[in-house]
Amino acid sequence: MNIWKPRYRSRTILAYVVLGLCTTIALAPLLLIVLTAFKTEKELTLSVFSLPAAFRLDNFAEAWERGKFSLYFRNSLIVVAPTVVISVVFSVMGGYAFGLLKPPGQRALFLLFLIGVAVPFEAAIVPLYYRLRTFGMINNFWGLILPQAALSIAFGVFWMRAAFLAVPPELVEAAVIDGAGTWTSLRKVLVPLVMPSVLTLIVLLSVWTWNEFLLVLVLAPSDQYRTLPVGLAFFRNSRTASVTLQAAGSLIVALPMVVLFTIFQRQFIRGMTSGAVRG
Amino acid sequence: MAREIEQSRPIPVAQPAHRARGQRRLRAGLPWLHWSTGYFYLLPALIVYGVFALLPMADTLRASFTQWDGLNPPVYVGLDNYASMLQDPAFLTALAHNLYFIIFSSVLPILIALVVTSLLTRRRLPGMTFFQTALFLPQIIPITVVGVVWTWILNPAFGPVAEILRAFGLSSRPWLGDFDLARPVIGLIVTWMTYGLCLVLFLAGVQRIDTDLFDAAEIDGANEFRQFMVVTLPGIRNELGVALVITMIEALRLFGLIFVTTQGGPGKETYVIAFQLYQVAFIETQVGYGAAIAVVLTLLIVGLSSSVLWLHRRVMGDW
Amino acid sequence: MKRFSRSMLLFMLIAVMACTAALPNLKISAVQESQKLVVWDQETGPYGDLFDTINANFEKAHPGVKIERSRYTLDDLMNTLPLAMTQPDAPDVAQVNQGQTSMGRLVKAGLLLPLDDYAKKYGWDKLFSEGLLARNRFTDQVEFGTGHLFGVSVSAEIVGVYWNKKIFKDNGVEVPKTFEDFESLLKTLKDKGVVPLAMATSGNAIPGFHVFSTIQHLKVTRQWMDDFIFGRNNVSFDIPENQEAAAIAQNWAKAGYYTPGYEGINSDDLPKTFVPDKAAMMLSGNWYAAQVIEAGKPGDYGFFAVPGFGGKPGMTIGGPGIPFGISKSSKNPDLAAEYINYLVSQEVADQIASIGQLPARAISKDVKIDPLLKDMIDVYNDANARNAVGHYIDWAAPKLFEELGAGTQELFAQRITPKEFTARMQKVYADYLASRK
Repeated sequence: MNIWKPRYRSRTILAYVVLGLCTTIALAPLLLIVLTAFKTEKELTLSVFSLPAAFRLDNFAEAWERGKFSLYFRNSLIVVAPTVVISVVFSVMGGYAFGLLKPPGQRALFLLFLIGVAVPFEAAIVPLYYRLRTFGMINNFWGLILPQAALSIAFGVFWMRAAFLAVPPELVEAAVIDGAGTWTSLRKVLVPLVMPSVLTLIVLLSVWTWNEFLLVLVLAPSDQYRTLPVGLAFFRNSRTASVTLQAAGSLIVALPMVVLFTIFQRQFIRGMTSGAVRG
Repeated sequence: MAREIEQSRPIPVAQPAHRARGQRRLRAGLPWLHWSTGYFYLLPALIVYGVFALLPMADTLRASFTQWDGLNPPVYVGLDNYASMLQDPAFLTALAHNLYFIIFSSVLPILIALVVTSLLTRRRLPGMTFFQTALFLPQIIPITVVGVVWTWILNPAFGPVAEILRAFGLSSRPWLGDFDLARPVIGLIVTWMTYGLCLVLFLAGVQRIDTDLFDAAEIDGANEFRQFMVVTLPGIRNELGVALVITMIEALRLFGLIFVTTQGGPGKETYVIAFQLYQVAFIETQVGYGAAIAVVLTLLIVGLSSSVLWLHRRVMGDW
Repeated sequence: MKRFSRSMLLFMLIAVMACTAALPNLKISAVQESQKLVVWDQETGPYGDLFDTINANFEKAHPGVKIERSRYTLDDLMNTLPLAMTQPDAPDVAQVNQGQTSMGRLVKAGLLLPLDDYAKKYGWDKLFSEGLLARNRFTDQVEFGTGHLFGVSVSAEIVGVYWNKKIFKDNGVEVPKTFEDFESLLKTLKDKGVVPLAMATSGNAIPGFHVFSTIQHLKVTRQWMDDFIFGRNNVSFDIPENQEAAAIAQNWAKAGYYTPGYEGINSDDLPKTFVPDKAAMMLSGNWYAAQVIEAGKPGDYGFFAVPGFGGKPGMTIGGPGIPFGISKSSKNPDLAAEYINYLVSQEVADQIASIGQLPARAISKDVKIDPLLKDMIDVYNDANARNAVGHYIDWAAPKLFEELGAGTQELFAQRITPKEFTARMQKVYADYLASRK
């Protein structure tokens, strides 16, 4: 339909208005925070909605230094990067195995992985904590990376398996006919074919791991190992927390993933929705 | 996904002219490879997942039948923990609250999303990507940021909402501390978090519907509303199912938001299962009971998701 | 073979990762010198940094002695200490959290050295009131609150009332001398349109139950308080004194003495309801001193203890900081004791005060500190001298913290009666005691 034809025009305008409203509601709190992060305390007392006199980075600097957000940021990176790398690599391999190599007993094994997708990790966190404590892995980066990798892998294997299954058989054949071994055919032919799914997986896992709260709260109670979300939760109580600082800190926590998501938005949404249909 | 398993066809046999090294006849699963090759690729995933996810899950089940403080040896108590749970007012309250939040995480957002989608039936609006990205943002923001931001927004003394109300001469309410309002307000925050997700899902689904269907319906004299009911709704049935399950699980697993805002309060008004789990297992160090709560929460999530999916298939299947 | 070699490589990579992951954080112990002290502590911020200076000074005063310090945070320390104490490279001196779960456990396992002899030798039992020392005591049967001394606290906490001197002056009011005066002060301020008491109870509601507990401390006896915290003599929480205290705290909510909208303000934001000039008073602990000082000029704020009924002094909520203990397997116990004694020396106490922390022992008269801090130290010393330093009542049972929070919110909202409040806390307490049998 031509949406601007008179017959449909009013509805189209209504559609835009409604969409605009929905989007504004979704964005408003975030915009307020952005605004607040650039203000000084005095400007804030005037009005929440006023524009800051200048876009100073003072609050960010202070949150970074005194608020220790530099530490939390570093911790988040240290935890998220290996988790995502390990998860994606192992998921691609596992998805390849389930999707194409199909070793005997793969249906039963796959069901095992499905458990990890369907069951919330709250089911594992309690004994995991006490187990890790015996091994001295509480307040330890590997103690944060490996459990999160485990959960990411459950989803990742499921995701990549679907991706590999979607590869047209002729292409799989072609790789094999050329005399390639499994690793080479995976590396040179198949991974490029499923790259969109891999990218979506990377973005998904990055966001989930970056945002993880309960797991880090329990497995790394020490301030030295806190990631950004947990750091923010306790920042409010610290001696330096003013509202403008909290806003700046919140942005430091949220921005990286927002940026990542924006860059890959098309991929992400397409991947999310197409994968969803299959699920 | 079930469809996926059924439809994964065996790879057709290839008969190459030359038999070079490494070439064999292809059957389903490339079986000329030693069976261990498949396992080699699976092994890393299996090890990490098995040790750090599966084993702990099995441990949780085991621990739920004991009384254990995490230090001294556990004491086997059979089903006592589960029996206590059924009589524990805190747990029952938490359960009721989680179910209550489903209204705000699933029902409300899906309804909103459906209404908005109906307005966009058949329309390919320019700028859709921008809207989709913006709408999805509440899902990308870490939950603690959501909590901190909304606590400030709803602050009765110096928050934006209070300021707006004052501008209109109205008095502000202590939203998150009011015994009657706290729960619905938290619910609305959850709605804010999830309605964008539903909308994005539905919009994507709508793009995929064959426009011929719309033309056919129009020829039959259907107006826009009718087109929505007859073409759009069935067309997005998969997305609907996904939205239902995802949002419902979010309501059942609710923790971060409560931790950062109300801590279950005021009183026990916003107390939820995951929060009780955290308190019981880690603050009160009643690990056995906490494990039992975890098991029940898991059963709840899996059970409700399956039921909803089954129901969804029944209803939408015949649409 | 090519495909296998890559898989092998990956396999080995995983194996190596698994091994390194399984290894606990190892501490490589240097050669044991006869004059080395390994100290583990959990102090943070400027106070934590101060310890570097303190340690350096100790080394200067004791030539040949080397202090090897490891800094942790409390959770970290509490999680690693039990295991670490059994290893050959166990610390000589370590901070050990009070209570059954931390210190009690170590005492039970025979990992801590009883300090009674040192206490007598150095006079620690004269420095601190028995009420403070009791918190670091356990019997041979691991009963809490009495028996051998296992730890010595270097810093302290005290809960009282921060007051805005300008607001007081502008409204012509003074620091009250009796509890009755305090109550009428609240009323007077309210009538003049000033927010009498800063309050914020959304979330963990700590400021709320501190008000209740402060009043409670003015009514109950020392004996009851100790019995309740240490879990002996089966005392009940549901006593008239507590009910009356709850009733008063509740009435203040009804009378509007608290920050308007306090129920919706997160507890963590309490200081924001006090400074700058938002309320006349704030009832809280010395931990907010820095924030309050930063919000004004020296002398803008003061600190006083809520006076007792009829002017009779009562107890004040507070407590010693995390104590330092000596490991039983220490090769230098005497040196360790010497070190601890230095930590509670006048010199160190003065240094602690000068950076804005509350030392556990009295300071010299001529130390330069912010007037607010001086007030706090006076309040603390007074309580210490009278053996009137009270407790954080949520220590009595793990579930109490949560229940006190929720209960306070309901109490202030007039949804439960004071009797229901105390009865509920009693149930939690009794359940806990029963589970300990």
